[in-house]
Amino acid sequence: MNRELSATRLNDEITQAHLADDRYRLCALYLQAGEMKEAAGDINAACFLFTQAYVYGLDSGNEDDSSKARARLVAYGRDK
Amino acid sequence: MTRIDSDMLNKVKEPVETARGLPNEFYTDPDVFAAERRVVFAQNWACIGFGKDVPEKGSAMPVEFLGQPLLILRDGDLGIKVFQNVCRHRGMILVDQPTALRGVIRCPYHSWCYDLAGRLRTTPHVGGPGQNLHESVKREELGLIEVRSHVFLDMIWVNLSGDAPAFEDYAGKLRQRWSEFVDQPLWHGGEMSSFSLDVKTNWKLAVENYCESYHLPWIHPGLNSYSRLEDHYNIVEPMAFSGQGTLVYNPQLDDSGRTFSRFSGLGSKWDTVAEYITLYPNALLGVHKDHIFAILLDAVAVDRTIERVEVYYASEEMLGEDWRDLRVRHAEMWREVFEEDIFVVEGMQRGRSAQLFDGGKFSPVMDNGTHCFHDWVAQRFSLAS
Ligand code: FES
Ligand SMILES: [Fe+2]
Repeated sequence: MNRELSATRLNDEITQAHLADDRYRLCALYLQAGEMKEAAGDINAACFLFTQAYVYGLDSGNEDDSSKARARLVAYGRDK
Repeated sequence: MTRIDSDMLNKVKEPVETARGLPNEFYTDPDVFAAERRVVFAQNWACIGFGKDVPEKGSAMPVEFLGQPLLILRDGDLGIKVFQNVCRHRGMILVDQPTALRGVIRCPYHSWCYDLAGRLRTTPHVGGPGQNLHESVKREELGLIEVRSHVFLDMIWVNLSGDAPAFEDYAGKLRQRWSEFVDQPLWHGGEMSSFSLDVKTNWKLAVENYCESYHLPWIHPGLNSYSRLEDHYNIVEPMAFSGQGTLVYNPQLDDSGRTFSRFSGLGSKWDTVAEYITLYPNALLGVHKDHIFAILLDAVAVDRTIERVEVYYASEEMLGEDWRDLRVRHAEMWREVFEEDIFVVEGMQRGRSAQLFDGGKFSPVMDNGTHCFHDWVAQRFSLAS
């Protein structure tokens, strides 16, 4: 129940960040969302979200979070 | 290119005493204009912008050149590079307006990402959702397509065809002539030192008018007081550039007697000499002991040219607040001069609709720079046919 709630809140925040075109924040939020899916064992969904994080991080110069996302993708053989 | 016959080109290439100018269709015919884009602009070096347009690492400036979308990019280590402004995936335009990139160039369509050196960094979901790799998508083969480029006096030159001689050779003689200037650091004067004129003329008429001093006493009587016709000389370098110089450059911009600082290491010749040269095809340059200006002619249509004017100074100090009023006055002075030329280049353009005009008769003494330019244009067409 808790996890569902925070997932909903995260989704809202992602929507808000898209509306504001805040790509730096989108990177951070997608990274969190990816980590949640990864923890739940849904690797495909996680890698989708890590990809979004990686790209928005590259775009906005959010180097910390984009390299974390990339590291997860590389670990799963999804990027290099 | 049906109407361009070699007899006509040969007539243009005759010595100035007997030559005729380029005929009307070189100024009015969209077919000739299309051919010219190829043989004069694409298969050659041409100026498309200025280093100052991309001031810092990550600055990206889209430009349209010969109808093609290009992207000027400044990378920290590599300096300025020019690419086709087109994604390697589905050909989307990458950058729509001048942008300060914080990281990569992300295609606005499916978000393929390119770094500032043009390398393809990632291809999101290209192998399906969450899978950014596919064996058939070889990133190392899919970088942005680079256009050959060179920076000279802060002007960005490109050779679209990729097979023109090296720029150092192309501009070698001008480099030599202006060796005291070409490697100097240049300080762009800022917003007020940058302006554009939108002129209803073929770009070549702007070149021709720039290359001669014959018109000065009639069109620029204001200049006459300190720069009389007899103080000017022709500059003619066949197949390379032409223009004119003055022996009495002596700027007086206000009553206080303040003058802009001088470029370092100039010989005494430049105490009073200033030179105005067109590096063919489309860069009008002026060098003076205390400033340089450059005019980029953007040949947007057969009968329309945008002139982009940029003024540069010799030291960073000249960019300061206390020099601001003088910079403003200086740019205004040049703007007035260039605006005085508009009615003649527009008038000559209208004159090109007179069916029986034969290209015109040159003064063998005063029109050498113009003839030199026509000779070069005719030669470009001869080589292409
Ligand atoms: S067109 Fe650029 S990513 Fe698809
Ligand atoms: Fe003039």
